[in-house]
Amino acid sequence: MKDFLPILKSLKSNYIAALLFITQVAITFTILVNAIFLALEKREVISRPSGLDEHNIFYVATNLPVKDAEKKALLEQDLLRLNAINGVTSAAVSTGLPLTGWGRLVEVATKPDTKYDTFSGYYGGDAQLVKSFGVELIAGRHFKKEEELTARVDGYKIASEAMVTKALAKSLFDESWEQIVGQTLYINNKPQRIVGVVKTLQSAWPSWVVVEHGVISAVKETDGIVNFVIRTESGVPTSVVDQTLSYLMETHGRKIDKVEMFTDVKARAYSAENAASKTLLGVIAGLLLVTTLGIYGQSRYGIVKRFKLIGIRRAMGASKGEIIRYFMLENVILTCLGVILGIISAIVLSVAFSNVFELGTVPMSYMIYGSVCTLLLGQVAVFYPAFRAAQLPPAVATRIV
Amino acid sequence: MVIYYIKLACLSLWQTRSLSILAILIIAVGISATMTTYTINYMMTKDPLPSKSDRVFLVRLNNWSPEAAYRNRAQERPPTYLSVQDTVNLIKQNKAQGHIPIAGFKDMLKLPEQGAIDAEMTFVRATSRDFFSSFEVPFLYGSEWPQSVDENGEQVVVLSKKMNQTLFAGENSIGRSLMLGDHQFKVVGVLDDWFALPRFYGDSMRAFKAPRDIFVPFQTQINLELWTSNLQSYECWKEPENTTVAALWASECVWVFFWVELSDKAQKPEYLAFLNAYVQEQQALGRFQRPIINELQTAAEYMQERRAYSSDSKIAVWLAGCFLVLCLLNAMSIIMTKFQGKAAEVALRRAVGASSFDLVQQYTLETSIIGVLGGVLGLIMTHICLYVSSQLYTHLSKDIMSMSVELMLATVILSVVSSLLFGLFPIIRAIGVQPAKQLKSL
Repeated sequence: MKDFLPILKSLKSNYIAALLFITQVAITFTILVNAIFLALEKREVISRPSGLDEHNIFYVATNLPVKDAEKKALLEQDLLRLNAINGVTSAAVSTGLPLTGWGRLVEVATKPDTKYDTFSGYYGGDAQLVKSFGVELIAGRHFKKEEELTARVDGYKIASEAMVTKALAKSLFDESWEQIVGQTLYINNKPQRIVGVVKTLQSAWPSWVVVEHGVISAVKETDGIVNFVIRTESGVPTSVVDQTLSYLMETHGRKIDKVEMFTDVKARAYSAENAASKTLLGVIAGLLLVTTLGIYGQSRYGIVKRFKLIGIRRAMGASKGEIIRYFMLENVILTCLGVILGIISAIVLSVAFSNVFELGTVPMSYMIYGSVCTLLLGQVAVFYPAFRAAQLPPAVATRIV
Repeated sequence: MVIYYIKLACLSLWQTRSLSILAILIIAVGISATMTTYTINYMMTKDPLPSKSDRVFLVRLNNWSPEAAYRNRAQERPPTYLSVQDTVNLIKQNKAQGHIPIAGFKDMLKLPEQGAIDAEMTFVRATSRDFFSSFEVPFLYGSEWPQSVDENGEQVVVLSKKMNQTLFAGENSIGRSLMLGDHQFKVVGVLDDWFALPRFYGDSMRAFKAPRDIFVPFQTQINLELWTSNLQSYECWKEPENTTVAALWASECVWVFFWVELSDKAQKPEYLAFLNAYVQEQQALGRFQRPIINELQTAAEYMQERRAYSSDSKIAVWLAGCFLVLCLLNAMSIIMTKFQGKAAEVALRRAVGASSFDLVQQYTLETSIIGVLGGVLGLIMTHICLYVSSQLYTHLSKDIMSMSVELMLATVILSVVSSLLFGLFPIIRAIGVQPAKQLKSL
């Protein structure tokens, strides 16, 4: 610590270089903390569970190419045949799938004839849909086969039972959400009894505020395009997909609108977040590289300029360790000043971002970890120039300008 | 004299080559990060119709249930789309210079001679002939369909260049036929390369995807009753009479985006008055039982309201801007190191009569060479970064990841100006040496 005062004095005499260094550290710290925070925030969004058994599900969007009156029969036959395919755990029909970007939404209220309490995504299908999604039941019971109904469109209008997601139950009943089982909710002003609660089932739009809200009813819809949700045992074998398609194509006039693995649906839904987080990681890598180079270059410059001083100190009896320690301590002091400035500007930037772009602010723990990392980075970058300086023979060093 | 300075600068750059290369590299990294993010952001948020931004409008009529406001908003706003009947009525009244309905459907597309197995599910855009002139869409072969086609709903199509390549190997396909579902259509036009960025006219969720590849008249979709229920969003406050498509057309369900091009800005109040009069007329018939709050919205306002612009790209520009400053500070300290080693040379030159202005000139030249090289290298790196981004950002159209000539020029200028600005300080420091003191120590 006896080096502390000499360091401050030498910094004072060369304050421009010191200021430059401090500014660099501050900027690095500001970008680093904000970029890591944003990247992790994106990662968190991507890793949210959809509620589905994601790796074992694919879906086929197709039509029912018969007259309206015969659609129900064909749909039931399709479901029977699809369930019979070897390797299929469960097949069901649904009005939509999570994260596809196309789906239904309903208004949910706890009292009749009032304005809605919240919005929710809506899925209608046969009694097996919950099982085919692979969604976990956490309260109440599943739909019974005899509760199943068929509608042409807008199944929620004729449904009398419904299941909801835990997130929706919580938004209506807070911590006593389990009480929702047996209660009556008004879905688009139509009373429906809640029979069960599922853990998670996201709606069709990943960026929706209430993406975790979901209502499921046991009403199959036959109009236009129907979605067959097919769950298999482990992974989706191509043979199952082939058998499904070849069965479906047996019916004359069938159009296959889409065949997609659920993992692909999810990757597509989050491609923006994924790309953004990768870009941010690239920025962080570039940042660390440039800053390390910068600190290295500046320390080297500062040391080369002081060769004479080093030579004199060595000649007066300072050990190599003392020389190294001197420069490392100098680096710590400068980096600390930079980090303090950086914390202030990081908070300012983060608050500005959160105001303009509706993001969360960077939590304090990021500042602490960021400071430690920046300090370490500085020490690593300065070590080699300091080590080289210490190796300089005093006789040579004193001769150099 | 300038040539002599350039020679000196090159010599000096060569002498300190490792530091010079480092400075150039660091500037290039900073420039490319900034320009990549800036290009993406610029392409995403640029005005899609610069020449007409103040006279092309989205028509919004307040067609919703008498009981509740649209989407129950506290501040009531009309839906962004119209019902089929209102669209048809407004086109018939013909009060604007251009009427552009944006509808569409999906169907199986094939050539008449191909078998059903070769048919591909294809997205079709249904619109009017004004689409092409109002949105400035260039034609390669043929032209838009004539007015009479819009009125009668004949079976004609306009293809994109890409679709023409796929179906007809890129040759002039005017007069050829193709099948959409069970209907035969005749090709009347083929578009040239056309990027609508952002693609403002339809669903804002898909604003950064490429336009559809096949266009048919709106009236044809109506006449043939082509409807795909899971393609575009549609909202109904009142059920259609029955389940037929014809009933949907006659219903109050809203789903058609309707744009108008007016002859000039001044016509806007006039057209709004016309819309209000139209709604009043309809009110007399028992429709539109809500306050008249019709709107004419520009493309930019519509995109803003639907939050089509993601904030990510703006944040990236900010972060990259900070990163550039950091890189320049770094380059500044490197240049300072470089000039520090030249104190003796400066002293010698000052001693034999060079003015400080001469030296400033010489070193400025050297710094600007670093700036130019950094800019050029930065430009190359920007192109690489944009290529990588286009692979990474699969949800965005590839056309976003391209630079215009202006942007390229701006890149190099940014590099030179910023390196001169940040190089000025090291130069002033360098020429500030005391000649006598330096010479003594030689």
